[in-house]
Amino acid sequence: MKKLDVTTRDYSSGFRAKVIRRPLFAQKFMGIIVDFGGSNPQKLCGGAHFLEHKLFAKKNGDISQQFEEIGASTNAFTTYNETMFYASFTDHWRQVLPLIFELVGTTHFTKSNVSKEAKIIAQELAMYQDDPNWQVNYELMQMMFPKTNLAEDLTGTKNSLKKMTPEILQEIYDNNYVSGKMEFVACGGFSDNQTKEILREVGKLERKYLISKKVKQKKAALVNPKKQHQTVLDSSLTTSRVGIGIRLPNFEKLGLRNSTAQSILEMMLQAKLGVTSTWFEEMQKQGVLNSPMELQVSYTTEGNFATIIGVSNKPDLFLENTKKQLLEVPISEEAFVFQKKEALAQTIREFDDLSTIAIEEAEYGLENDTFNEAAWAIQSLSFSEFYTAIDNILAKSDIFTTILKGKEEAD
Amino acid sequence: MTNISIDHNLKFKTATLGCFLRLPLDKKTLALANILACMQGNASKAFPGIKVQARTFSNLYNASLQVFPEVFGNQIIIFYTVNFVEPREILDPDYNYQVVMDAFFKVVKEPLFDEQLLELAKRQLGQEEKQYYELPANYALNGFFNTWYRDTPNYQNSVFGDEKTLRNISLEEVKSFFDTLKNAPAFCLGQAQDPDSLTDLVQEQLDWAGYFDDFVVPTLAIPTKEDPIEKKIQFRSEQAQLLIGYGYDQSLPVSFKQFGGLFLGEYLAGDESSKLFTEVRKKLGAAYAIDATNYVNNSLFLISTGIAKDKVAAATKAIKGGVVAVQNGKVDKDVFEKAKVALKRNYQISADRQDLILIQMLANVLRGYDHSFAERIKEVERFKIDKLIEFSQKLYFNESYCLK
Repeated sequence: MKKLDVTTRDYSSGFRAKVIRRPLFAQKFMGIIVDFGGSNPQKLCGGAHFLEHKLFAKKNGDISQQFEEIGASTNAFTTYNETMFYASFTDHWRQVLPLIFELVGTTHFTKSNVSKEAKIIAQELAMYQDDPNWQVNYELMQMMFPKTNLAEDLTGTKNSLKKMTPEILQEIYDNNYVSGKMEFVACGGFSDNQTKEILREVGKLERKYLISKKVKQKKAALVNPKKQHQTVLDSSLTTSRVGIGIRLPNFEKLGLRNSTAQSILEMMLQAKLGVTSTWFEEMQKQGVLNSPMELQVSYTTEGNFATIIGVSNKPDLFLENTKKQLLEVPISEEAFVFQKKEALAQTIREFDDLSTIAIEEAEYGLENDTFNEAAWAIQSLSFSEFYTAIDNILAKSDIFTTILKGKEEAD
Repeated sequence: MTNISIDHNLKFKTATLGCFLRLPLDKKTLALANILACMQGNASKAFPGIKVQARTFSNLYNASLQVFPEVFGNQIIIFYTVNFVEPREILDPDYNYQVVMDAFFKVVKEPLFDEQLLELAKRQLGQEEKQYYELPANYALNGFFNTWYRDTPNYQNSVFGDEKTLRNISLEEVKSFFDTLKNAPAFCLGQAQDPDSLTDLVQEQLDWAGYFDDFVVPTLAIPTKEDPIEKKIQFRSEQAQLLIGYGYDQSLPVSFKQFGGLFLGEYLAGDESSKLFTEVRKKLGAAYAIDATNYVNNSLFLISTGIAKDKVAAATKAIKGGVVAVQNGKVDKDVFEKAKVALKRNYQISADRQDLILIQMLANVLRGYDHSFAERIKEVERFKIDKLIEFSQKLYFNESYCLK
């Protein structure tokens, strides 16, 4: 398998930079990832995401406009354990590079700009809440990780948004935006000389803009799940939404790298419940399921979990069958081979999506992992290793379910 | 000459191929196309089950098969596409263009007409439709278009088509529809590292009459009748959905409509400094996102946003005011220049995406011209403020739709 062409440099401050070369592409990508996200301990839930929004505000206005002037488009996102700021562009990388550092390395929080942003984020939260799958996911997270930041939306709550102040934002920033918790990534058709120049410039910029501090991530104590393992709610939906949450054990304690365990579980879910499975065909024939389900596996410092969300007008039968299939039916070697082929194809496809590959490489970096190593770990996996890993993980997992009852069932 | 064009893939690790069949739009045809596409996406004569067909393509290094209809103005295009890893990227002697094309054309040309499969397709589409409309933004967009085409019902429900047909269609009707497709104008487009070999393989398969027919549609755009309307609909949701539509003359030159609308959309609701993004999001704090889209095939310029329920009136005023300002010649030069740079960048980056390259090829053969991304960039560079004002002055307010 061809490898991604990456040059990495570690700086004395603990900061790291990576340049991925993908010749012939017009797009260039640069970004900084921060090892801090929505589920990490913080004064107010939603703080990491609020900070992501508000770092674009600078004394002389919105920094996005400076990116626009040189033809770059900038954006950011927050996940459970990461925040990433990035720009996508075709020219002027020498001007984009210092702007990325200024974006992440300076703050301008005022009472007025914080209260205005709270209204905008409240609309973002409202937009997510209008998706019925949001409610299912919310219910599952509330049961699996009660009273933690994982249980709330990454944007926060209506209440936490109202309580946000410039002081709280500054405190969250100071505690987390330090060089030892950040990594830079660039991706595009950069030459060898340009790569060297980028890494040299990054060294100067990280000294100029970032606080040189190596901070150990505070780990939240693992909370116990709720005793209640299932909820059933009424809704205005026509067909029921059904969710299954699997609270997973700590992968490292089972001797598995997080990225490998995540891939193994995704392969398992696809093999057991995906469209290539005999089970899925059988569920369709019985009218329990019509369309494929949403399958997702996440690992966070506050706990690991998988979620399965489907639509069914026979929700109880759906739950019973899915749980049985998950826990009792073994995976064949043939299905494993299929999944490995799919994983290989997926890896190859990602080479053509510069933004995705840059973000993934940056995310792997925070785990001291790389895209190449993670791909190789899956391709060199044997069936017995795969099988054993799943057995070990499922033996220490806990299952939660929720049903948003549709009118079809209510009638 | 056969309608086929496969370009040289110089940088992507995947190849792509699409067969596109064109039919005039009406609600019933769209429903039929949806049912057939759903059935073909699930199974075929050669792969007579969902699992069998899914595994066949999964075994071809997860080749991505897609079958679906999409509306382009007054036409329906049925897409049959396959995107697959270039065989040179994988050291597998049994994996080559031939095996992928064999599987693909078995799906395209040999459907399985089976009662069970039809019933499943009906259930799937019925459920997809319900799920689609559960999202307020989708519900509102459909409501907006159904109001826009209230006097021409054939253009309504332009995602799923006629509901009765979707529910009651018989297997015989699907069969007969499939037979008519063989004569529908068709074009095969793609991109591959070895375009000659792929063309040779595909050429053998293109034996339907439609592949020798004229694919171009001289007038794709649906005309708009000036008949302003305002609608408010009750809906249980966190946000209100506000859609404001402007019509324009369908007979305007295509390039003027296309780039005029593109510029106005970017100027009003593109990047951070765009006018409505500043007014509605930053000043009013009323929305997280706002979009302005030029539906050139519908002679419609649409501004839409999910918004705080108590800010609908203020946002409506800001949106209408934004359009009027441009019509009155009040254009912020700085924002216009930023919009120009952004549009250039978007076209440059589009050439990095194989799916967009395929869509561009389709748009060209449908309209009968050959506009590369480079030519589109030149058009953007040539576009001046007076053209933007001129385009905005062709717009007339025609619909306001609010889901609240």
